[in-house]
Amino acid sequence: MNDSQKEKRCTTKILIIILIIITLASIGVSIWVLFFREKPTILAPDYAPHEIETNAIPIEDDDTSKMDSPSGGGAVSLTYSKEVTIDLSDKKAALMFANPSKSTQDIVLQLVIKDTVVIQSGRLTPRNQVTRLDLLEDTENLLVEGGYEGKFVVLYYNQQSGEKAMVNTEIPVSVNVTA
Amino acid sequence: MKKIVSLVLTAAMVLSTGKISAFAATQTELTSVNGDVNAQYVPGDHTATYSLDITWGAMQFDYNVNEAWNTQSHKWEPNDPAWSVKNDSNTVTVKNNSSVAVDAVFSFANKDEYNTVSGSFACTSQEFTANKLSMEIAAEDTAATEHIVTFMPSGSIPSSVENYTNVGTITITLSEPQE
Repeated sequence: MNDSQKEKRCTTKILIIILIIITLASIGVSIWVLFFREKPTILAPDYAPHEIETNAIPIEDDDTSKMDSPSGGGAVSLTYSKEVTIDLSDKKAALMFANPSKSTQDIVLQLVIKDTVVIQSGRLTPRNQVTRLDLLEDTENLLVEGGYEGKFVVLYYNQQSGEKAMVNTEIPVSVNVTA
Repeated sequence: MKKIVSLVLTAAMVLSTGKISAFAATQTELTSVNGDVNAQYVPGDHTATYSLDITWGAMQFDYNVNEAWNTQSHKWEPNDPAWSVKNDSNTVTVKNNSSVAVDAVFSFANKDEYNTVSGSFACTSQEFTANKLSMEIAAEDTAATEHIVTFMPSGSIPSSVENYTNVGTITITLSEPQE
């Protein structure tokens, strides 16, 4: 074997080694991303947002008296639908969530898909409901047409102090995304 | 003569063919038409309606450490610590007013800075197993059953926690029973 052939073989070996190293590194990164990377934390506001939810509409004919609420605790009544439709062109979600007048807490409603908060409402006070909410900015870029499994995260806030309650609720929902 | 005969014949013809109903002793009966009117109650499609009432207490607990003097380390140290609840404030009640059965799963997550605190749930209801409360549809014209779940923390908190401080959050996950 002459020198040029030897050199060519040597170069080929080096290339193969480099490719193997790159492949192993890619596999390592993939394993880390899938199994070891810390999932982003959903940050729930510790105090109620000042803004009342602009999409809130009053619940008609709701004159029920307040529920008995333990001292220092809270009481809520929830009425909701488990189907959500997101319109990407409109950047809005169609849903149904009501905070009847007998509740003693304000509510902030989050829609979470794959650990990402895509919707967070303003304050929903008792005797109000929402059938439409706006997507958070830029979250429409995270979604494509199709179905997702998501969840409502329902946060409760003292109406006087605005302090977040030590109890919250999660509700699995089906999300249909349209263009 | 001819005129008289004509008149008589004309009168006879008129009287025999015309209906002088004004002088009739009885009127001719009208024909009646009978037809059945049918109706039916159509309830329409029953879309599942989700509605629940949730109340919770102040969730205040005392971590009683019964400090004793350690003659070796020369400092006060916890001795047989135990948790107690203040004013029975550790209850969560749930009522299912939905048109479907609902499961409520209870969980507790501590705050990062209090990662030595954990907790457990208990309920005297037979429908409560492994932190899951199974709630059937309420019977017609009756109030929904109120299920009472209690929470008790375990683990420890540092001596620096001198006032009632939020050490974690209770989450109630509402879903339909899995078949």
